[in-house]
Amino acid sequence: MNDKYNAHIHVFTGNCAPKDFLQVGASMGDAGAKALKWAMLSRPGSWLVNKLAGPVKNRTVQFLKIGVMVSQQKVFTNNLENYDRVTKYSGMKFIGLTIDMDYMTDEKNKPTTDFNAQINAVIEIKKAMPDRFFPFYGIDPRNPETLNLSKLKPYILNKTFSGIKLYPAKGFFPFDERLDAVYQFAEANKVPIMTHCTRTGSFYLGDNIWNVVPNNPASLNPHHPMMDKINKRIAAYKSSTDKVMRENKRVCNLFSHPENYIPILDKYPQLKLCMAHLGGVSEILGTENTDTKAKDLYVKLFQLEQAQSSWYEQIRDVILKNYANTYSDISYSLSDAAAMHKVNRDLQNGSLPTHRILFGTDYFMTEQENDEMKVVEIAEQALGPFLQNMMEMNVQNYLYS
Amino acid sequence: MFSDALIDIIGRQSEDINFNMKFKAGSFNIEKVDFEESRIKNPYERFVGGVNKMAYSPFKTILRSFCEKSSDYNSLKAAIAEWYDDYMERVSGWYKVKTKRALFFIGLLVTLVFNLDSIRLVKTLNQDDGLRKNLLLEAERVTYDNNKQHVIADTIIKNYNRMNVLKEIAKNKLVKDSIDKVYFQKCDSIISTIDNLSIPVGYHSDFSKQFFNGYGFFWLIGILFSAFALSFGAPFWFDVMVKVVNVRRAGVKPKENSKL
Repeated sequence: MNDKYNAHIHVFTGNCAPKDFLQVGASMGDAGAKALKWAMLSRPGSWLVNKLAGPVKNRTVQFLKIGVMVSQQKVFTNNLENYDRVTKYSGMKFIGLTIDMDYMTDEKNKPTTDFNAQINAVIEIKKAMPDRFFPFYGIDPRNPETLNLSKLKPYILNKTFSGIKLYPAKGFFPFDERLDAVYQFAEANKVPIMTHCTRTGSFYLGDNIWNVVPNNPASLNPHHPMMDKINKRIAAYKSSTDKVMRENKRVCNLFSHPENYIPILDKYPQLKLCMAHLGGVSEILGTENTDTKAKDLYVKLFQLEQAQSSWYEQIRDVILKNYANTYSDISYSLSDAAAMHKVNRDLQNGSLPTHRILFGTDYFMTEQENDEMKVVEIAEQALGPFLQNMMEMNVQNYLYS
Repeated sequence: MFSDALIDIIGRQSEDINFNMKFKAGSFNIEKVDFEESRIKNPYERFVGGVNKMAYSPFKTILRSFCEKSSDYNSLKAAIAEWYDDYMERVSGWYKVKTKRALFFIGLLVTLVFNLDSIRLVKTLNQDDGLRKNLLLEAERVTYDNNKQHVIADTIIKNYNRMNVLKEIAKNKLVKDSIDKVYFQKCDSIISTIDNLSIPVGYHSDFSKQFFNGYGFFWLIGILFSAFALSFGAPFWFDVMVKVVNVRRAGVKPKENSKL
């Protein structure tokens, strides 16, 4: 029997996130978000959330129940037990993605547990369960330790960390010239990179989003023709007459856009890069989406970005097609059955490469949609026999080939 | 204790971990993952190694100065302990300054709830000889009781280990309940003392009438003064009271065993 992997989970706790992190889910203002997070992470607050999570099946409460857990070890073992309870998934291995959240907001709202502390706790999990847990090291170009690879390099070479995680929506462009050394190192050492590629998820929370969006961002491949298109897209968001499109949540689409990776992949064509989430549910379904609110937003963004295709199509028809070592995963998107049926159709007709799509759930973010094992069930039903390779061979190749 | 913990935490950074992954033949299926940790045994060298591995920060500069000032574990521990004590002294100073404001607001809340108007209190005490004498007697009694309690507590601590006493109390609910009862009785007796002595505390029926007849301004000053006085805390005022009582008695009463 082959080893099975869940290639996309998170184990960070609420303390690793910035003080104003709850603004990601609800517009409650800086002070409100800070007060609520503080209250929830206090002893009585987390006790109350835990007690509520029993009878109240509300998805937000279930999500918060994991977020208020006392340690990353606890968050991880909670998921491990989910799989070990099901015979066919018992012994599942996990890729745990760390995220550097120290720069995703203004200085005053930095997390109480900084990135180094998050990493130290993750190393303890790795030591305790070396054959079940395969962490990826979160990279942010604003972190000075990223620039000189002082931590990343030894951690990768001594196999404490199995790959690199990027989360550009936290406030940086993946083609940032400061990341050049990281990609060079990753390509030379066949280090897998996982990057967040969807319009949803968390995003830069600072008061002034334009502080992190220059008109012509410095690129590691400055003369690449795609840079022109990227700069025009930035200008389109900046000059948008729709106020909503100038909010942090929408502007951060600029960071996550799949076309941002073309200048990188043209410079480092052998890079092992996984574009997570297949672009997200709204981009997979596009105008077929039955959720009219999501469909309207999709159309609005499509027009604003003067796009010719959806993010899903760009990943499928440009990135996966042209670059041999690129991958994508079904994490988070697997919570939507319609999106998974579309992925299944594309796998069957060969437009998606069956050997380069990975299984992942995006635990515990998916708790906002459904229970962990319920989303796995959705994927099982929609993807049928494709799922086995997604869990086994595909992830193994991504990690070790 | 702090020195030991710091030496251990910093020293941990000197450790090197290496994970070894073994695959089953002809596949990427994992057979075994284990790891080796290289650990420096000498705690002093371990600490120096940890400091050297740290990225630059002001904290690293401080830690490096400890390495330079010491040559072995004991001198390193002493240097850290000295630095910690000095720092804690300064922290206590900052803390006092920071808490002063919070204590003032808490004091203000208490004075408003109980209407503790210092001007009215002083005025009443000046005019009412009986009340003044009674209060002095009460103060002497409280001082005497408190000293007695200290002697009893000292004897208990001498005879028993404190942790054992606390454990015994936690174990024995009856004892705990009786202690609670004693405290409730104490509160009751304080309230009845205030009642019996007719100390001008609390709101009376004429308050609003007097407030708008020119008394309001002085009341506010009195309240603010009380809040300011309360912000010094009970131990401060108790010490003052003990000193005043001792001055009245022309010196501290000699301890009974000092006669021997």
